[in-house]
Amino acid sequence: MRRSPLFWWLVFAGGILLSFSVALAQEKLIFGYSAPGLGDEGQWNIQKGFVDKCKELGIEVIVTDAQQSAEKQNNDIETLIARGVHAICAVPHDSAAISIAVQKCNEAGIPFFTIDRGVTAGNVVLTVKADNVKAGAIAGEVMLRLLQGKYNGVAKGKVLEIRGQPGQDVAEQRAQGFHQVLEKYPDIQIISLPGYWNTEEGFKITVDTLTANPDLDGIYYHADLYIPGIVEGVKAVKGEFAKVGEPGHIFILGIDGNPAGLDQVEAKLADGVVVQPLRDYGALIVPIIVDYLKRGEEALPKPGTVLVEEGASWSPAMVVQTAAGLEIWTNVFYVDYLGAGDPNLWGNKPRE
Amino acid sequence: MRKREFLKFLLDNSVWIIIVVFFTLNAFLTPKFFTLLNFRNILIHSSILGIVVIGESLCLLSGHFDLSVESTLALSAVLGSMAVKNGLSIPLAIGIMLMSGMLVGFANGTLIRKLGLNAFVATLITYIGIRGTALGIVEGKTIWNLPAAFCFFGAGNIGILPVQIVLLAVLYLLFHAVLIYTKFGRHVYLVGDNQLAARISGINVDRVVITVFMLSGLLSAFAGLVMAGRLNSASPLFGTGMVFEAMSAAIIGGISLRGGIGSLFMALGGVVLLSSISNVLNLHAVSPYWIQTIRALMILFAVTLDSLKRRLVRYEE
Amino acid sequence: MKSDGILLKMEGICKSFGEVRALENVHFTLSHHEIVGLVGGNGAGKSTLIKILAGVFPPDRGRIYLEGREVHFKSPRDAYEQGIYTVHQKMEEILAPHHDVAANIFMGEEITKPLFGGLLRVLARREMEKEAESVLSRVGITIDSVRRPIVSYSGGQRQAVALAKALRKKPKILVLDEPTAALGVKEKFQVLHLIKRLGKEEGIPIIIVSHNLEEVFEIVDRIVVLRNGQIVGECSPSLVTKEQVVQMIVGGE
Ligand SMILES: Nc1ncnc2c1ncn2[C@@H]1O[C@H](COP(=O)(O)OP(=O)(O)OP(=O)(O)O)[C@@H](O)[C@H]1O
Ligand SMILES: [Mg+2]
Repeated sequence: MRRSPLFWWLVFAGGILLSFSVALAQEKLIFGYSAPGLGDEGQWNIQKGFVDKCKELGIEVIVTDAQQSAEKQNNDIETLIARGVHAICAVPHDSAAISIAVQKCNEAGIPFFTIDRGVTAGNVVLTVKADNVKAGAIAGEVMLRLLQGKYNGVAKGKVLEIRGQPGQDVAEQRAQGFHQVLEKYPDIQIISLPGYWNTEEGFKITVDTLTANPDLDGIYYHADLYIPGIVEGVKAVKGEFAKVGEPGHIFILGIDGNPAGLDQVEAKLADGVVVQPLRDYGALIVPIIVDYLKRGEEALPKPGTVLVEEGASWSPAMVVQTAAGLEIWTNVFYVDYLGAGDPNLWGNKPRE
Repeated sequence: MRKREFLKFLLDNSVWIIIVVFFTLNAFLTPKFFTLLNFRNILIHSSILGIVVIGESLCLLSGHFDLSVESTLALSAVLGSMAVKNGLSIPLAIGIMLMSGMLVGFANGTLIRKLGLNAFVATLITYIGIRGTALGIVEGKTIWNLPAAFCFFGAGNIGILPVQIVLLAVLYLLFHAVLIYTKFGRHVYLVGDNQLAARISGINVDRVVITVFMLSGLLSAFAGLVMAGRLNSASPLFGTGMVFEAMSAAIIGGISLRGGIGSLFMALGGVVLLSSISNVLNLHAVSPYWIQTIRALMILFAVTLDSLKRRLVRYEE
Repeated sequence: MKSDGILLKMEGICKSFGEVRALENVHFTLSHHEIVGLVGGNGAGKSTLIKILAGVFPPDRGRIYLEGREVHFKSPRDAYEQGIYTVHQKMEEILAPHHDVAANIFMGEEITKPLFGGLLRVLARREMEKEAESVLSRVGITIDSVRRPIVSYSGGQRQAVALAKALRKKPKILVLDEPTAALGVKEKFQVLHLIKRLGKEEGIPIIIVSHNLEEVFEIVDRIVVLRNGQIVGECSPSLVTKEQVVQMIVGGE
């Protein structure tokens, strides 16, 4: 049987392609991971999730720790570039300061990914973070149920929202979700004040608001760091603190779910907390990085789609195109004191 | 003659007069403002900033300033909380905190006087370095749930009076007396008024300035103890941005940035005014997006009143 | 080295400020009971010599002997403790503008009194005010109140305060850098009278810098002329004319 020359050309081309991909598969992938400071439980868990997934896929990872220094993080990333890693993933300590290193990375042609935060300048292929709008919305729904429970099914009451830094996207999204849910109920009054991510400011806001509104029903906080300020603030005005379930209790719930936050929920100081699946960011992003190195842009999920994986705590996750670039917003979930002890929560996973 | 003296009295007490005006207005405009509970809140809110402002005022009066106060506060809170969490006795922990503050102050004073650095540069170095040290020691973590006895200075009560308010009063009286009645206090003013003249007149400027910075560090560290107690926790991010508030309070109180002029009692007025402004904004639940603008406008109003008064008396300079 | 009459001896004093050589190998002596007038043009180095004597800064080279013993002034305090009291030329270098007269006169030398049985010491304001008033009246210049800040006084009044500050205690050597420059006619007369009295009657050795040869000739025992950082002549006013001194100050042909 005679083959046309075209056939042989195709075989030849296929053979080259095949040998290329075999070579690629044989050359072990090396990723760089730049943590902002592994002393923080949350950061340690994000890093652990990333490293575990890489191990599972047979990828080598070089982990660097910037120890809360923006300058060190830039040096770390330059070191990773010099080591010739195939891709770099970082949790920026400072979104603006890291841009210098990101641009160097772009010049070197190494794809750059981030977790939890974007960067101000430079090309980032993809950012994975929690869906903060959803976190706010879940908090809003729980607050609604608690208020309805208190007032025999009627949606009414007064709630204090202690925000983060006004204008910062995390704070804006956490506010947006909360307001989306509750503004449908005109009898629920929300008092929003900025706490600038500052525990003492949270204390002052709690004290002043409770003084102006002794009938306050609930407090929604944007980050766990406000809890001690809230608890002490309630004590300072009311003289004592009524825990969850005790008469006179003020509902307290918010977002984060770090170990200390979960402890407060378990101790019934706070009603509950919306938790982010920090430990599973790696499981989501590592396969995408691998795929991106093989297929380029094509491998990235399309904006507007929803990623689902049975049993994964990040699932469902939304793909969104924001001003900062392509982002995947992972699922978040609420835990109360019954669930706060769950050993699967990242905040309860002991460091090794 | 009478009139001039009356004007001088107004000038010398302008912050407090503005406070009286502010309180009177808000008694009508702000619900729940004019209540005993709220006055107590304002004083509680004033206490930590107030303690820091004593140290900052000492520095300003001596013709310097200290950017590192807020970092020193954070370092002290973190060190003390780590110490008690690791089983050290509370007095020992407090000793470590106060020592840390004095060491930072000593470093500042030495950098300025012995190395000849400018106060801005010297305290900027410690401002960055000490905050970094606080972050490093606890690796960014917050320490929660401190022993009740350790929290006494922040959250305790003496009878019905919160300890914070008692501390505020005692420390202001004490340092006011030191500044007005002692030789050291007089030297602080003289060094700030004319450092060269003070030196030529035989005042040991190095010793005065280093002491001032050590006191500033000591007070900031003590404020760290109060804050840790007040919030029953310690974070390396405590007091972020506080140095600007401390400077504003001192300057609103009429302490000159050029040194040598002003009184601690007036700086306390600046603190109470700033705290009352925040309190009113919280009570009104002003939009979080406008709160900063409105705060700035209120401060502008206060300092304009002050400069009007100044023009009335007209001390040339 | 020890010669009976000589109280102060400055030997081989050199001082440069960067490029500017303010003093070059200056030898200067002062005897007991002597009033010396230091004259010279602007920038001749008079104030620099006086600041070295007052311990404001050290000389680059040279030694200072007081009553035959070598002294090292590391700070103005050291000179003060040796009894050398100085009124410097620039008021802004010696007075604290926002402090009152009493505070300025007692600057660095505040009087304290015991409190709580000696447990603490506090400023004795009353005492300082009283003494300030008495020193001022001794200087012969009346000021309406000692409680106003220095900024609110005239230049001459400030000079009087500075003089009073140096005369509060009896000096071993009194050093005056242009003490009458800002004074009015009447006040100038009073101050000169005072200087003469201090020098001649109380026997205090005095070094006085002045551009006014009239007053120099009137009060001093010896004139020392500085030009470009060097001593170019010494003479007794009884043996020379003003024109000759002017010639030395101006120099040249
Ligand atoms: N602190 C200083 N830094 C630099 N140069 C100086 C300093 N003090 C004095 N000089 C210079 O040293 C020289 C002598 O100055 P000095 O003040 O001793 O003059 P003077 O004889 O007192 O003059 P006047 O009669 O104008 O007071 C001048 O050239 C002056 O510019
Ligand atoms: Mg001169």
